[in-house]
Amino acid sequence: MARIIGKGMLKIGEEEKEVDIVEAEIDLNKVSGVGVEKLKHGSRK
Amino acid sequence: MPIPVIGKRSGRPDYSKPIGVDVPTPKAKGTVVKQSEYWAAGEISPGPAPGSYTAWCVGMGFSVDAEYVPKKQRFRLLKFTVSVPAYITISAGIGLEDAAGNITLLYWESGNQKITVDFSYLRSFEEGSRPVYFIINYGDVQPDFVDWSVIGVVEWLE
Repeated sequence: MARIIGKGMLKIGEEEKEVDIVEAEIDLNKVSGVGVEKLKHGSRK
Repeated sequence: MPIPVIGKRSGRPDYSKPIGVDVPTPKAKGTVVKQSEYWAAGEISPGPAPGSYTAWCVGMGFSVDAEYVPKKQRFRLLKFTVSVPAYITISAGIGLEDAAGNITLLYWESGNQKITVDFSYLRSFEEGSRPVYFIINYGDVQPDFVDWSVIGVVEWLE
């Protein structure tokens, strides 16, 4: 179950709703691309 | 001794002419039949501890009821802003996550307290993917919260 870490608003077209901001579950073994080391060197919150 | 000036017709660039700019845009995989604004803003509380990062998504992942960009749609990210109420060095990043949980980090920008990433209509997320947003705290204090916003366009494809 994703952890809710904040609240926000989301508007797509005419529809505007309150929305949960959820923590993304990151598996560092599945992360690639620009600046991967930035995440690997830092501890996860 | 005078310096010889090469004439325009002898290979010297004509600096008086305006420079043409062609902005490359991704080739559409389908015909765009509709566009809608995508605007999201929120607060994360608390912010990341010193030396750590926070990664987040919106709602179910992409919207209130969709984990990923729905079929026959495309999301174009225009602008991403992050700020914290403390004068600390932060990095803000954006990744592209597919349905298998693989994340490709696309872009980072670093600065103090506030970061604005402007993609000028060049970054798109196809169906079955979604953006993941990151903030790294390089400072020595934990901000009480993180303010962020995203502006983009959702396109419906035929």
